[in-house]
Amino acid sequence: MSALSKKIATALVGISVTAAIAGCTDTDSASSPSASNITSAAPSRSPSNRGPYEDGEYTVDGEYGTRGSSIGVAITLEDDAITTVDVTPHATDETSLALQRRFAEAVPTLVVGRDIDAVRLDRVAGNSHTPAGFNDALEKIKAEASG
Amino acid sequence: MSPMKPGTKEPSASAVLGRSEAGGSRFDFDALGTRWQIETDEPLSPDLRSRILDRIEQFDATYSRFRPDSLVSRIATAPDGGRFEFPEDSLALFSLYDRLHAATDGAVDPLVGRELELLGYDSVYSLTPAPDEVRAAERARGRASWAGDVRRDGRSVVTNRPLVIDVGAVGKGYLVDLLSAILREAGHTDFVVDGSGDLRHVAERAIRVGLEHPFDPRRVIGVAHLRAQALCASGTSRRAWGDGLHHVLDARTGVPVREVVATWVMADEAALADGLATALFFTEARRLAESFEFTYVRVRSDGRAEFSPDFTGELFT
Repeated sequence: MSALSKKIATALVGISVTAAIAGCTDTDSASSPSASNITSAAPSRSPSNRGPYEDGEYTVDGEYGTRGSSIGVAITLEDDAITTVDVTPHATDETSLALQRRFAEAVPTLVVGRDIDAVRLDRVAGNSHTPAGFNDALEKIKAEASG
Repeated sequence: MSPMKPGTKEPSASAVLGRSEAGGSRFDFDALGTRWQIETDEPLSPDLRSRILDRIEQFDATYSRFRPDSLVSRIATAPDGGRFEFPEDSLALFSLYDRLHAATDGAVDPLVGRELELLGYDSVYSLTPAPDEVRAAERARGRASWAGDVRRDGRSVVTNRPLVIDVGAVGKGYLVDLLSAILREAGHTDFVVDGSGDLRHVAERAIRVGLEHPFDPRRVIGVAHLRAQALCASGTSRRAWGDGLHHVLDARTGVPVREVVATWVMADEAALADGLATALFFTEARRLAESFEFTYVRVRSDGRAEFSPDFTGELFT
């Protein structure tokens, strides 16, 4: 388990870094975000880490430090590309938990998203439920602007 | 997250009891200007449904800045301020605002209501920013702050000038909590209260909640596994009215934030999750974690996401 786990962990970091760089290339995106920025900028695979991995779910438990702290990472591979990442903290003491939180903040990753019909969901939480009064007013303003 | 909307005089007119896809019972209604759902294993009794709608009406009559007859509208129009008596529910609401105000160094502030008005997010939805001279005159008077311009004495709020209170950062989540408490007291042990994306889940089995893509409602960026907690979402991309104008303002500057486009927070209570979802637009999660227990996902305007490793769910990266 450990050798394979290590390889996958390396691939994970490689892809995160590549994705982060890709996300930075469009400097205008900070002021005018668009759908394509998120959905198309992500590389579907990391060329430098392309390897003969079988599709499927992989999990790894990374241990560190002297207090038996560990963090769990589960990923799904499809065509050598990581499609999901699931991170589980195992920290039992405050210090480790705080460190793990900081780790997550240090490695922001590009989110690609998936078609809503391709994911089994009970509910959705986001922006789509905008107040009716707001939407009506916005439509009116748009109509006036174009008319 | 959303500022309070005009209340409907007869909320029951649009309230519908039906079946949910999962085979349970579903109660749909309008509240605070958006569509709500309560999903339960057993149908809500007619008495419970009317208590829920009455509770919403009572909340709206106090806190909606979109209703001329509400308590906050009276405060907004009192030329020299005054002493105003709030209901019991204000104690928890305002004390959460105190904590959020402190933890964000003043970025979260109910008095941001006046700034929203100046940008056009007013009670008639003019969506037209006030003229420069009006805003300049306002600046000259000094910006009011929750810590400096509002004195509280139990349920009383004391002001000395017109102040626009907007409980948008916390109010919807708080109402989700209040309705959840009513359901619990009535003996319900398996339900979801969904205030248009601000959720509270009470049941043994976790539900899967899609995290809507900030710029494409046909996509999700991940799935949260929600069990016996609250999940609240906040975003700027949809409720925007042009040229960088949207409804999440830093109260210290009155300027809409640009660095963050969407947030999701899981916490034990929806009021807290809702407030933190707003706070994360201004303040680093690390800092907020010093004062609050929560997990989160935050999408920045460059399309990158930060998340807490203990966020139960998946992100599609």
